[in-house]
Amino acid sequence: MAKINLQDIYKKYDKTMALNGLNLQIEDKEIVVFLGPSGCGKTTTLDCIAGINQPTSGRIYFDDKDVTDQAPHKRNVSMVFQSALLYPHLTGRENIRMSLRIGRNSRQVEDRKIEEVVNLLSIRTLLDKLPYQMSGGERQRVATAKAIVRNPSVFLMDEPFASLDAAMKEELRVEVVVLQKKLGITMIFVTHDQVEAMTMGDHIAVIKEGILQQVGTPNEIYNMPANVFVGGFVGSPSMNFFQVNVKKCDNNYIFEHPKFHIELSKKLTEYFGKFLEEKKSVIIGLRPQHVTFLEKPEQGVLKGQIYAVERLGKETRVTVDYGGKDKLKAIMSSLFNKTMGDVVYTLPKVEDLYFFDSEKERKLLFKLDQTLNGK
Amino acid sequence: MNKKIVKWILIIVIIFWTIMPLYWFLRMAFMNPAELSLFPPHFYPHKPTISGFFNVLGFSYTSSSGEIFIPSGQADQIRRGLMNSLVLASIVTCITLIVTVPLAYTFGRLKFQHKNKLLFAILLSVALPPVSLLIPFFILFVKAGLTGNLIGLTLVHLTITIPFVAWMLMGFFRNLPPVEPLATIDGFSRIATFFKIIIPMSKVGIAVAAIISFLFSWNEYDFAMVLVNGTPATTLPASISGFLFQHPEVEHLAASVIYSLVPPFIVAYLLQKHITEMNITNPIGG
Repeated sequence: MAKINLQDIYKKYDKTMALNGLNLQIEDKEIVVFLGPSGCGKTTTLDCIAGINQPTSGRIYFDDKDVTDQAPHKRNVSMVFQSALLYPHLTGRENIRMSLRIGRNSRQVEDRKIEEVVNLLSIRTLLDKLPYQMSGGERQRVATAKAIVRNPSVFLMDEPFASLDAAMKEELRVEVVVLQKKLGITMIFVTHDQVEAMTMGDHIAVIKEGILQQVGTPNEIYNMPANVFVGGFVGSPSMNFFQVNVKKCDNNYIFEHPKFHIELSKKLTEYFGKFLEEKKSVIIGLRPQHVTFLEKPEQGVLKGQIYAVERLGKETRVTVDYGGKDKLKAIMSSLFNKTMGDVVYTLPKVEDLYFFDSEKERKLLFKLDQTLNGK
Repeated sequence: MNKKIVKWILIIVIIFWTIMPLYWFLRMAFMNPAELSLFPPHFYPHKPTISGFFNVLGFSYTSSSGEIFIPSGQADQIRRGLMNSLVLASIVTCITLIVTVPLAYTFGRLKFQHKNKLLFAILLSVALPPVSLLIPFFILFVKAGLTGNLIGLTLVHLTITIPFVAWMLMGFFRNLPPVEPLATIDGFSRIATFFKIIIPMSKVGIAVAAIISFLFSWNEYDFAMVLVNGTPATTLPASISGFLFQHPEVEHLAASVIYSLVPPFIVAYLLQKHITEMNITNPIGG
């Protein structure tokens, strides 16, 4: 039950900057997911919020109270660590009890609180087991019980599902979200798994190299990625990018790529000309599901050879080698009938494209359908 | 099929290799001097007697047939040696643990400046063959008045056990799961984390460290021969060697060797139970 405010957090390890001026506001009772590749600073941020780690500079506020210099146990945070870490020499019950020692409760009060979480998470059979006797999912439940038994104001989870199999992950993901809504605890969840981030987060904070890239709802992150990194990191398979030159011809904009070119219609040029003025080149992004293959070759379309076909049942993933730096990734229906080595033709549709600045930290310029809907 | 046979033959050979010398001494300890001098030797004592075990501790023994076995001339030394060895090995074990557990934890899990250089210093002292220091230690200890007493020998043993055990424990601590942040969240201070979490978690590693330092000190022979043999501070291995230079009392020698095996057996047995009762080597599970 706390609002968290991070102000200008810098963290320096020896020579590397782990966090580079992080500003973030986390609302009460919501789940915020820190998403980013490993080593991006998301765990460091979490450790700073927990108080295990001290920021080099910057302040951390819980409900407008400065907690930067407070010891972890005074902040009333609780944390589930990577792979649901527990004390290996203690039973489930003793592990949970460890969380209560700072409360200085009587034994009876402790037992009652343990009883509550045991019922909540149905872990009665695990109380007398040692961590190594539990399965990954069971350990996860005990670690969660250990974290919430203290009735924390902030609940932190650091890649807790990392070592679980896919089915268990899905089950626990739902469980944790339901639990969080039931208890109304502010929760921060760290992961590098975008599916976890999209399904669990009320808001997602995408972090890269210690810099916050974007904060938004899962929809915002997916549909309006702030830059090339976010666009490429969220979504699987990831977005296709092309660097294209911008040409103006008869008042219409043309995007020229060595392999293909796309024309912006007159009407769209009127709308979006302002974004493109004085731009020599832009980066265009295309999600794999928006790729369509043409029946026959036309002037100025992208020609490529199928490099790989992966059939997933509900869809078919196709990788196309068009002679560029990267390969084009496409999602087709399960009926897709071409095979490796076949030649295909495609031309991105303008309304599916994301336009990013090719300099200026590669910020999103606009996306046609979103902007049109907004008007 | 063939593989299985080879495997079993190897197992039998190894068991034989290990057990046979022990058995040879065991059977000698139960024979009387007449039987011992027979050739070819008996594979087992035909008229077993436990006289050696009494004689070697300085008691005479009368067999059921009225035969009297008189105490060994070495009994005094053996008794002293047994006592001294127990005291010495216990003290060495305690000091080694008190020094190495915090030391190994610090090096194994904490980050600080010049760590690698200091680590190298520890490794270097493990790499040095102890025997190469025999003469320097002897000269030094003669001048310092540390020969002929247990203090000197304790010091020497510690110079060997501490770096070795520290090195071993470092690896153990390094492989423990990272519970320190968990303990911090639970409100443990750094010192409390060490005493209340790390040490209970590390029972097994510490037990093994204790066995190693106890057995080392109990078995150590070279330094004991040079520094304390023939004095009231003699240790068991040194005093047993006394039999080699006397009128042969083979059954007494064998009995004292069997005695010298008992404490290590007890120590290993007690601590081994500890090791099996908790599976800490794989705390994350599999």
